[in-house]
Amino acid sequence: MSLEQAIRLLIIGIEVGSIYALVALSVVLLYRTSRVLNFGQGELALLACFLTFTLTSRMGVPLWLSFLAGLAASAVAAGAFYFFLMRRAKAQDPMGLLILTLGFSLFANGGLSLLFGVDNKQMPGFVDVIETWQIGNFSISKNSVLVAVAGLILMIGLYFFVQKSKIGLAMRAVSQNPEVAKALGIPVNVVLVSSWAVAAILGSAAALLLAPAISLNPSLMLDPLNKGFAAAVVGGMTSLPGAVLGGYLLGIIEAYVGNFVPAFKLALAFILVILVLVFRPHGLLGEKETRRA
Amino acid sequence: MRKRVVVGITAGLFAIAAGLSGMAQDIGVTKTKIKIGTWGPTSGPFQQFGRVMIGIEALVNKVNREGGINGRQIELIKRDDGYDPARTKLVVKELVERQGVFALVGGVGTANGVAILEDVRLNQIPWVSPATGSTAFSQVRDGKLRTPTVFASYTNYVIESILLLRHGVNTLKLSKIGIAYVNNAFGAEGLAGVKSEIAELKGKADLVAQVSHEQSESNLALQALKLKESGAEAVVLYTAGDAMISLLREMAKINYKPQILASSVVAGAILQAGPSTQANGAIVAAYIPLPTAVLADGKNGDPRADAAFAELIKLAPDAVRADPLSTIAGWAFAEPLIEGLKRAGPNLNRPNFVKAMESINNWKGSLFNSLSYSPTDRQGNNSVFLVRGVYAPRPGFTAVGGWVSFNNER
Amino acid sequence: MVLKERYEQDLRLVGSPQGWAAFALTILLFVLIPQIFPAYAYPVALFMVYSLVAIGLNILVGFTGQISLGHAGFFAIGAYAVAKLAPIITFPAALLVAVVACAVVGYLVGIPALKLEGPYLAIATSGFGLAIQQFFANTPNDWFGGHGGLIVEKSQLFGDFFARDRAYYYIILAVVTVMVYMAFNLARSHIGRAFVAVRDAELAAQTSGVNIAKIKTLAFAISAVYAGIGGALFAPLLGIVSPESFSLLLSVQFLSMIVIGGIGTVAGGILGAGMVTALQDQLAQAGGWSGLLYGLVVLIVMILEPLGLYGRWMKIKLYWKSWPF
Repeated sequence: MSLEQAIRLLIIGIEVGSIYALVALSVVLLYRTSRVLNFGQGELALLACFLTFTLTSRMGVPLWLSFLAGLAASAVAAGAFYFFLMRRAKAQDPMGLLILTLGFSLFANGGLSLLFGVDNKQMPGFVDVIETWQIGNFSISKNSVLVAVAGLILMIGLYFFVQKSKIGLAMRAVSQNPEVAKALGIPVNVVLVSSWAVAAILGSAAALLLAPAISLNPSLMLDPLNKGFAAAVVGGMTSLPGAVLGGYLLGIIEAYVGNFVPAFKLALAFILVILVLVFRPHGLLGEKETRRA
Repeated sequence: MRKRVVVGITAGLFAIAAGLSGMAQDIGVTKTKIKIGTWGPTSGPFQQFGRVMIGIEALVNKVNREGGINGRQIELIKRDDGYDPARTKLVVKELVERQGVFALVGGVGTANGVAILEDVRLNQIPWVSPATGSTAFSQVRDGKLRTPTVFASYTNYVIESILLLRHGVNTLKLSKIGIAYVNNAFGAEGLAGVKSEIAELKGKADLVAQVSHEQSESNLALQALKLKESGAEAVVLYTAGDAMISLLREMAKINYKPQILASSVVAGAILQAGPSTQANGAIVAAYIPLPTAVLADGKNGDPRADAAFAELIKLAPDAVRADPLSTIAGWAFAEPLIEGLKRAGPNLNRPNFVKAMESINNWKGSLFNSLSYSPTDRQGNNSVFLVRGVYAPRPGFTAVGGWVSFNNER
Repeated sequence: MVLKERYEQDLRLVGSPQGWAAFALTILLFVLIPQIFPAYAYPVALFMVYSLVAIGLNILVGFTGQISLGHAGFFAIGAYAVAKLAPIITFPAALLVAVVACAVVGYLVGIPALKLEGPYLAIATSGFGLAIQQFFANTPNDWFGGHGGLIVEKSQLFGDFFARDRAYYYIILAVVTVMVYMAFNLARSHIGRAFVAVRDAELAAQTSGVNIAKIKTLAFAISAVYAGIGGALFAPLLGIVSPESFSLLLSVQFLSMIVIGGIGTVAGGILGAGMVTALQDQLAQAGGWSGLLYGLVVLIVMILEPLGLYGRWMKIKLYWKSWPF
């Protein structure tokens, strides 16, 4: 393998990895506070995409504005889903909640398909997805750079949000021990609703960055969500830096494995996940959850 | 008392008479109605494929509006199978055994169709135009038709890929060939066609790269890189639509410009990939003539395709504008069914209908180039029509020569 | 209320004459379905096949508290074993191969699974399912038919008579009856109780002398065998075995069956399988609305009934038992 090719694969890995990392972050953020895996994450992101598409491509709203509107809508929908359905569902065990989110995902996907149609739509983006910058005789796609940089900015933003803001602190408290947090006067419901909203924003941002390069349709998020789950698990379900590490790792490994054994690319990526878990059952940076018998 | 017996007997005779007259007709056929069933996914990740049903419905509506067939209206019953073969069998069983349809038309997916094939064979259910280009539906075993009630009209993918490749090698004089395909039965048949034709061409062309993607995969950056490395001058595409858009864009990013030879299945996506990708100039196989709506210069479309398009747009404007080709395909799939029903005459039953279908020979009345069935052949159509995807003056296609038919001479 | 005086009474499968009558009626109903409602032979057959997988998955998830999003993999192994081998070594022999293969693979998957729990195990098992799917799809075409899959002709395996779903139904019914009986027996055996003990209090079970590792891997193996037999019966029923069928979506569908039906009981798995099959059958008429409606039903069940359909049934039963008090 030539150096040039190795670098190209790395770039592909980082671009794809940023998307995985963002989705993984949303998965971990939610898991830390609510102990739930959300199958509906993909549909929340789709909602943001369809709204952004409709506002900009159909109604001529500036892209940045409809981008924000899309993120906001998905955050509100996620908060509402938690507040009105998840919180009140009688099946409060992890398995019951998992299937509840599955039901939501099927319902929302059906609804979005009816509302917006199932065809491939051209999602507007901030840069032309094909244009490249030339560095010597090496070209790098503007979109790849945008995705990687925007991903980084979001991750840094999340870091400050969780570490420095009041609500972030409350989230960490709730994730450590919801009962004690409640006893100490932390409004647990507000914290949970906002963690659902922030998770939805991260997932939607991933989708909004991804969609212009391919095309927008109701199955856009199937694959990224799958990989985002896997990345979260590799990094450790309780660790935000772990999610980022897992995302990039999965993206880069996939690129190199896919280059040599294309037919088994997906399976091998997952086998690596399993291998990591055999040696580190709680992911690379995750901690064992203490359990009282 | 006596009066009652007489009434009883008369009633009984009427019942028998009604039964007898019913026998000349068949399941799903009454004096005023013919029940026809079709299916495809309208939920789940593959629901785009289900749009074929719009075309079928549009033609049925038109026929009904014009008075039906021999005084009978067609009742089209549509079902969603989510593109899952187990569910396909569920819905087709329901159509046949509970709804009592006379015949099936369309029906999306290869594995999905194969799942009901044994039932169709055992119960001799007429099935016109499975909406998939697989060879499984017109098989001959020990000199006999395996499923004599099935009439395939879709140019099968093996033939389609062979004709695409021939154009690339013989006309465009390209010799290094690559193929990108999706990991399913559709992709596998495209690959099989390309491989067999490469062997037939004996050194005139080489298969230098074959890359594949999973159905769930939507980013094909790696595959683009592999194809570029192989130095393929032409790339045959049997991928999924959205994956193909990604592949073409990734090719553009790395400044790789092969000639694209694409299956009819991804024709719609060719017009969405963008003017600076190789979709601009791609050769695409079509099996029906194109309406004005998808022609680049916006004029001189095929009049019959235009008529179909006008009907379709009334029924489902958004879906048809988004994907005119696969919806019109549905129309074409239903045409031989209508013709068969007409030819079968007023005394409609399944054996008559099968005979009527067999009498379709070199028939040019449909959107297909020409349809021919016979007692020994059920693959009615072997032609494609090559077009080029362009982006000026507007995204659309231009014709490249006329119909090309498959025969084994070169 | 029946007063149970001894432990054996509590363990008895069928406790009362009414129970026996209900049992006999159920069997009779299933025997008669292809005769009375021939149009429902296939949906009911499919339901029986799915209920085997659901029972198996419930043994793993409900009894021992492990999760699996990879049961489509075991289902595929069973299906491919029959599709590939039945024409050569007859159907019963192929079924046996499916059982052995799934037991071995299930045991092997169970070993690394010992260390994992919750989402980690979910993702790891989904990776297993994916690996199996890609294995069958990407091995050379003359092994398992590649992406096109293998066609299974019932007429070739059983003759034209059993090629009809109405007749093949009885082969499925026979196997499923035996397997359901064994599942009920397992639930009340010392192994079944060990499963539950492991789920409820791993530490306590260990101190009581339950070999945790052995019990957990055993659960995986038994669960895999159920899924595998389901797959083995599924292959001739459908007539084609293709890798596309055995996706993550199928594994998720299996999991949703047991959660909807009721976790931790044999009957729950059966009810869930019935519910999902019935929904698929009925919602096919809803056109573009089918996805939305399916999701809506799942949402409603999960919001209103924490114990699934079986839980609701138990509540009704208990209500009438103690009525009017």
